[in-house]
Amino acid sequence: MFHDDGFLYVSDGSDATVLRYDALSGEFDREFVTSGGNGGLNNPHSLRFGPDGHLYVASRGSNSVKRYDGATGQYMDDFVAAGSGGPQGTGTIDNPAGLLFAELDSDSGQAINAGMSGAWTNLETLGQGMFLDVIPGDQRIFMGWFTYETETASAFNADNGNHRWMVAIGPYQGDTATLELLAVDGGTFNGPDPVVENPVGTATLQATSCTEATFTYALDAGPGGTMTLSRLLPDALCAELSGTTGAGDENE
Amino acid sequence: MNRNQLLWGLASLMGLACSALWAAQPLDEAGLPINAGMAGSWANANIPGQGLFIDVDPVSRTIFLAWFTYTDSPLMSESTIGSADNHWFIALGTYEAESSSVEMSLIETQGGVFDQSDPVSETEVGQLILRFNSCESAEMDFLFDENNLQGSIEMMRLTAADVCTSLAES
Repeated sequence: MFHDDGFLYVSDGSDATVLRYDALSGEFDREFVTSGGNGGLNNPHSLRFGPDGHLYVASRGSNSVKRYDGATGQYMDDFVAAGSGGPQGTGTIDNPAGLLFAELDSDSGQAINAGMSGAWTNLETLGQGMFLDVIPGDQRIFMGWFTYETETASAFNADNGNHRWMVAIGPYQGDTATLELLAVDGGTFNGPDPVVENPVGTATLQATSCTEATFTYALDAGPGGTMTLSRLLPDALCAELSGTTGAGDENE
Repeated sequence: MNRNQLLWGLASLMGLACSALWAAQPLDEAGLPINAGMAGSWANANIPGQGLFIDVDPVSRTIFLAWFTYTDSPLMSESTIGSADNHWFIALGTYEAESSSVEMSLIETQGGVFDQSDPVSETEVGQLILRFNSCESAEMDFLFDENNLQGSIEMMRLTAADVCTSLAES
């Protein structure tokens, strides 16, 4: 099974392991689920990464579905235990061979959570982007947008690379945040000068997954548009948090 | 939390420049090991309107940040986006396992145009060291190559540090 982390995961029935290979080159990477830490895996067959980011493996020999940490491959639990499905002998899980995660709600995106805090960028316009800071207690998002002036450098003083930045703050519900964009004026580098916040537009951020979002903005000065944002660094916490109510384990 | 609390500030680096201890601050001094929950906004509350956004990848042990600040003096140029005096830097570095600090390259970009795909050049303009004392407190040392401008700033987390705290206790 190819995964979006750039690796190919293969179940090894003889050794009761899951092996990982580079998805592009096919080069062996490592034994992702080891024989010594497989939690009783026996004759593994189908495998899938679940919505929580963890790896699920159909264990035919033990009549169960086992779950492994999606980052480390460490055994977590028997997600579907042997004997599940009814009284023994009357339709309980037997020789599981296939796994499929049905879409829980194909019309909705990824509910915003604190794990989305970090750097996001439009892959079409590298060299500029956003940082999100999600505040679950207030159900609000604080955002910094680092970008540039709308014209080429020759039209303006380029001493600062025509850098521009804005901040935004606003509430979120579910997968969507409604933001007010603010320009901050009056500061000097590390100076104590008071600054003035000026509303300059509005924006909407809709998370479609833990690593992708749609950002739509309208600036009072004229520019507006929609862009697809991608998480710049790999997701460390969002998938974990989306399956729990508290903080997840760090994927190290 | 109101907007003013969220809009950050930094200490007066210019005033601290002469007393900065760039070389004297060891990277491995005691602190809280870096974790993914440290991603978010950080600032010094004494001076409004500037600060850091941080992102952490605990697998590759990479920290990426943007430093939102201003030019030394007003540029008096036109602006349709943000403020003409805006200036930002990015920094990237990797940290050792269980380390509470990271040394990063400070980078300035040139050539970009708002929401356009124009190529952007990156120039390393200095170094930056972040040391995390806790989930709410950090220190940032910076050194610019061109004019030897350096300083040290105490940073505080602007928003709740619940995730960081949970990870630190696990």
